[in-house]
Amino acid sequence: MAFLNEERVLTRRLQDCVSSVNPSLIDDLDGILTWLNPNEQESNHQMRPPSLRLKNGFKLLLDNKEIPSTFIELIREYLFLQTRAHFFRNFENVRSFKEVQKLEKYYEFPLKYVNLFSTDEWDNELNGFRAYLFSNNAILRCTIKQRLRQLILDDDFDMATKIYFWICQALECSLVYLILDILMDKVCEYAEHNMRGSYRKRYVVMETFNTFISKYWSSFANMLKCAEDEHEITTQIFNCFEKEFLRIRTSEIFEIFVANYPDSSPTLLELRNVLKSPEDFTHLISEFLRQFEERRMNPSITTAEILLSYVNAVKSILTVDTTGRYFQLLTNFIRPYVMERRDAVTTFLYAMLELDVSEISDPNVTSIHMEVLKDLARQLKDPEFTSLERFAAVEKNKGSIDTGFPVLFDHGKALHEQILDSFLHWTPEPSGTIRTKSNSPLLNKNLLDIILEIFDSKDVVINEFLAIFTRKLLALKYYRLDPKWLRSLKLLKKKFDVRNYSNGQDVSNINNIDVMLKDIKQSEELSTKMHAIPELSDKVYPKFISYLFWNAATEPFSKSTEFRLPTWLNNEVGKYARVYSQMKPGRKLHLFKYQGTVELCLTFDDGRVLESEVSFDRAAVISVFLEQDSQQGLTLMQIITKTGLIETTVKIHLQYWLDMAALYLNFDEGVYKILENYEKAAQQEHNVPVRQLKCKLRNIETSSETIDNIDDKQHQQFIDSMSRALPFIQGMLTNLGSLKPEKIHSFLKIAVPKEVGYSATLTQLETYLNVLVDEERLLATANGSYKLNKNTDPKR
Amino acid sequence: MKIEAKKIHCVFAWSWDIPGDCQDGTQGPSEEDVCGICRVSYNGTCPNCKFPGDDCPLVIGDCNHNFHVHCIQQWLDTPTAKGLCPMCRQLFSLKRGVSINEAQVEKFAHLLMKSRPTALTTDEEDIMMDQEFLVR
Repeated sequence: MAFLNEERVLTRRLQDCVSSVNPSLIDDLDGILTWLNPNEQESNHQMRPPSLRLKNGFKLLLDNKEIPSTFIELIREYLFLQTRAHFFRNFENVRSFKEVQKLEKYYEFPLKYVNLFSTDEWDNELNGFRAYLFSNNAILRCTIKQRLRQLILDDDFDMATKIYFWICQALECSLVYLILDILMDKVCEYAEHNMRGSYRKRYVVMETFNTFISKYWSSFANMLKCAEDEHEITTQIFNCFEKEFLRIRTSEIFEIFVANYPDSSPTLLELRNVLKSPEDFTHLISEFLRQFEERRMNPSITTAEILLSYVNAVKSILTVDTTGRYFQLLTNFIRPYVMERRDAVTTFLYAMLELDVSEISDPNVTSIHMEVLKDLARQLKDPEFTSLERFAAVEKNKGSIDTGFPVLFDHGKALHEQILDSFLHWTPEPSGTIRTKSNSPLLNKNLLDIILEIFDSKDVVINEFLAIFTRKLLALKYYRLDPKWLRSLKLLKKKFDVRNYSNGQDVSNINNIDVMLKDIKQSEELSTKMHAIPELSDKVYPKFISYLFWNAATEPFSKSTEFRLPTWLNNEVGKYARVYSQMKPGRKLHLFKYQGTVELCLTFDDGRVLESEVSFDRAAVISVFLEQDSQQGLTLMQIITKTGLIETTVKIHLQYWLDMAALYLNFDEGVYKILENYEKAAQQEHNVPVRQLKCKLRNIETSSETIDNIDDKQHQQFIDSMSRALPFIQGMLTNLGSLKPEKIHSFLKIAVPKEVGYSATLTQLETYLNVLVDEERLLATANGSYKLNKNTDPKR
Repeated sequence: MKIEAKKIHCVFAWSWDIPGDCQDGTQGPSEEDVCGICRVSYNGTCPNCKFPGDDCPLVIGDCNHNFHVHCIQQWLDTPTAKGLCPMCRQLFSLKRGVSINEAQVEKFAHLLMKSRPTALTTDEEDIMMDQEFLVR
């Protein structure tokens, strides 16, 4: 109301002014006022130049000397009034900087044609509006700030500068904090873009900082109104980049520590320089542990991969943390998990000893495992970490400070002063540090020691190593170990130095290795001597072991596993035993029948020569066919009786000889016979394995080199290992009728003693059960469970 | 078919051949038999030795008590032993005609002589024994 009143009064006064001079100009006045009036949106200038009539009107009215000078004042007042009215009616609707500009232009437009105000006057007016807008229109304030931020982030510094200075004008002060905020955002964004994922470069912080400064600093300096060489602020920016670097690297710490490990070492070194406070470390490590848990500690990851990750992580942490204080956390963190995995120790040893496929008799190890194992082996050998002297040095210094003893005596000072100094300048560990329980400093430690800490105790490792080593030695031919093994042995013996042990049990375990090696050495000496004795065959390479010290792999002495050696073999071996007792008075020998191997050469009537290296029991099976009464062939039962082996084993061995085309099965008579003439038999008998046709004739190469045989071998090994569980399966099926494989599996897991060992998976068990069904020992029922086949001869 | 063995790799376990234990040789050594002094298996070592076998042999006493050589030597060296078997308190001497003992006979002859009271002849041994019991 007040406005309308005022407007009316003003209009009246203007009309009065004009009509006092020339009443005919009233129309022109009305026209001009309407044209100028921002509130008359329908009929005002509408951002178009004035018409001729209006221009004429301007001339008549504004340049008219007759009209009193108050007239111009009144028009100005009128315009202010109208503009303000328009502004206050509309300012809340202004949402963006563009609209502000539009509004300002809208107000300014008529003034291009009518010279009513000096620039200052009008600017003052506008600044008033701006200040009002900025402080009272919250939405606009937000959008403008956002716009400014967005523009800067999008590198549009022209527009940003414009907006910024507009705000500065409006508020009549500079908004340093706003710009600094945005600068921070810009730094974040720039760092994110340039640092994330670039692990292979070093000095990333410095490089990113430099490009940032060269690209953007001049614009920022302009806005901040500071000199471009203002080092205080650029240093701060550099610090921000460091912080960002730390943040980004922390978030991708798993990638750096584990996934990209050897490649990421440049960034690790850089990280080391950036990591300063214990809080940073703590945060970094806890984030790492979180990611490690998420990505590695789940059942789908193989033990080898976990160990590899662990090794990489330990190395990374040691690179980053020179005090060697933090890797302990990782070890403690994943130890329980690793110890849950039964194959952890073996896997580790496989890698450490760099065993190849032939030496790992573990059906669970596939080629993919081998790759990981190789990688692990490589990482374990890393020369940079085989000795941790540099860490040790750091720790030494630390240790001396901790205990309060000065490291070096400065000869310029009196001794008491130095001691006083070292006490006075002693700084405690920052409270934020995670203290680990580690009571042994890193002195004399190396990577292997650290890795070994993941296992509950060294005993586990030693025992497992002994098992592998015993197996290796028992299977060893000609008494010589590869250099690879010797290296590993040396290393291990150093690691598990007897002197470091207080526990008697451990000592004897380590001692076992020496005894075993000595046994082998003496065996070599003895065998050389024995080969010189004419009555002894020099084809025999005996090993004489002190069985008490080979406990990990010796077979039980029970009669149940005994079988009859073929006569020829028994004779040879018997001679050796006798000679031994002569050479070593007071001692007798016991042959481990299941440990020996013999390289056989079979010659057939048709001139075929088969060469094969087999175990004694396998040799026993083929040898029964040499006996006089065997010419007409032997039934399975006869072979079992003759050899004294159990049925499963005999079957496996028979299959082997069938595959080798040394025997064939005559179905009509149900007997196995020697395949003397291959061509003839192939014509007569249909059951000679067809795939044998190609190979086997003068098969000089050992059988293991054909893929088929590897498959067969693996299958046999599998059946072999599973057959140990057979009595248990039979037992439970006798007692419980029919059972589902899952049930059998879980029973076996509980029931089979550790010495016998049951480590098959459910699928493996099912395969085996199906084999048993094929052999007609079991019946598969319709609901997927298995029961004993009562129709078969229980003795079979 | 002819079978020819080109190479034979075999593993033997040696053990001390103690007469009356088991003669056939097919049976493996039994693990219960331990040295009466150190309670370690005959086929193991005495507590001071690392390697079994030649380095730490076994002896069989006339009383059929068996010991690691080092164990019984140490025992006989102590004055309180008086040359007696620590198990049965009979005079300790090596069983004759046993191959295990052959290498040790000389050493023990000397040792036993030293550990017994001087100037005792074989005939006087029984008297000596009686005296021993009287003293106790």
